[in-house]
Amino acid sequence: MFIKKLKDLFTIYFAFFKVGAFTFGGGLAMMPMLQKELIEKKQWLTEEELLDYYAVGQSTPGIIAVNVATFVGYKRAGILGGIFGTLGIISPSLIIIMILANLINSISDYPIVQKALTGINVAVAALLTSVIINFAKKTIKNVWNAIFMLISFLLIFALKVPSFIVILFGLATGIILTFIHKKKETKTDDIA
Amino acid sequence: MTLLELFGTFFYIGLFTIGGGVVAITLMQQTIVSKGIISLDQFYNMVAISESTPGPLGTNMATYIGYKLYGVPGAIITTIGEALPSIIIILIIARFLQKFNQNIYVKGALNFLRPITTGLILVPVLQVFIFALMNIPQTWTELFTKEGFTNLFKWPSLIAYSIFAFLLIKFKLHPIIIILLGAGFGILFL
Repeated sequence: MFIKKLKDLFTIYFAFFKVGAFTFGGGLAMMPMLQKELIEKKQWLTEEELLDYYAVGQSTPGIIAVNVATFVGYKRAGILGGIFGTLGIISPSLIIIMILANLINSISDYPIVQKALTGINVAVAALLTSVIINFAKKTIKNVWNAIFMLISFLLIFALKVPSFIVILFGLATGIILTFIHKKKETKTDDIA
Repeated sequence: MTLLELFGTFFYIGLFTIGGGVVAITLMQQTIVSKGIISLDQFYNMVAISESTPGPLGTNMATYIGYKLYGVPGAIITTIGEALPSIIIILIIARFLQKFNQNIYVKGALNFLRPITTGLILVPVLQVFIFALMNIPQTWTELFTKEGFTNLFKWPSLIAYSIFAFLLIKFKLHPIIIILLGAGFGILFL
């Protein structure tokens, strides 16, 4: 029992270690790795759950990557799972930065490193495109979904509304709409 | 700044970071740079390096600053200090969500929220696309000149992007392979 629990915890740790080691940029950049490793391979969660965690992570304090790791870890193995997930995602940073801190000022001056990083940006653009396609496939099922996606995009992109405000408004609207629909005793399918 | 103060500072940064790495960097600048502990030059250098090494941006920055000030113990203190508020708050929320997962309002609200989250994610995706693949002209009118138009896209990068996207969607290649292909493309063609 104890051994099995320990094994579970280390599986969580190494899963997130791998994600952390291949995330270039902010929290969103870890989505391709999460989709591949946790949704497709390990089937620890669904696209919908990952989106929920991301939405919560975006609108609560803390680093989004850590928030998501804590969430998934908790779901797998309770509080210790959350802690091991977090330790997993921060370990590569600790190791890589400490190794590079003394070297990197000279390393990043090499043109070859600059070129590799510019190329990695192109790869990240492609990875994120496939991420957004995967999410849209699961979440955009009717015209209303598409309209709300567009509104949220425009609010943040064009009007620079902070994203956590959009999420909180979305949550509140969702609760109100569910309430109204329940009262009417009609199906919520057409909006939700 | 003592180790304990350093821990407190990064706990504070973690607690008030709402919305990701950029917010964390602003807070770090306010708490670390403005006190003269690290120079602005050095700080921007750290940001550039943290952006181009694997790992979440905020975590990389915390590790880097802690390491510069106190070596390995400093790095561990700052990184854990910054992550701790997340862990505590999310564990509470996760517990709540698990309990109320089947509640009709929670379910309804989350269902309603998902397309909105997709729209929210579209923003940074588009920003990365523009940053990596396009040259946005200074003024709109430039777009209509021949040069402005042909320079709008970084064509070799756009071609590589299309190939990568095709490989990902069609063959579901592992992200690690795409990252490595990207690095190889950069070294050979950029």
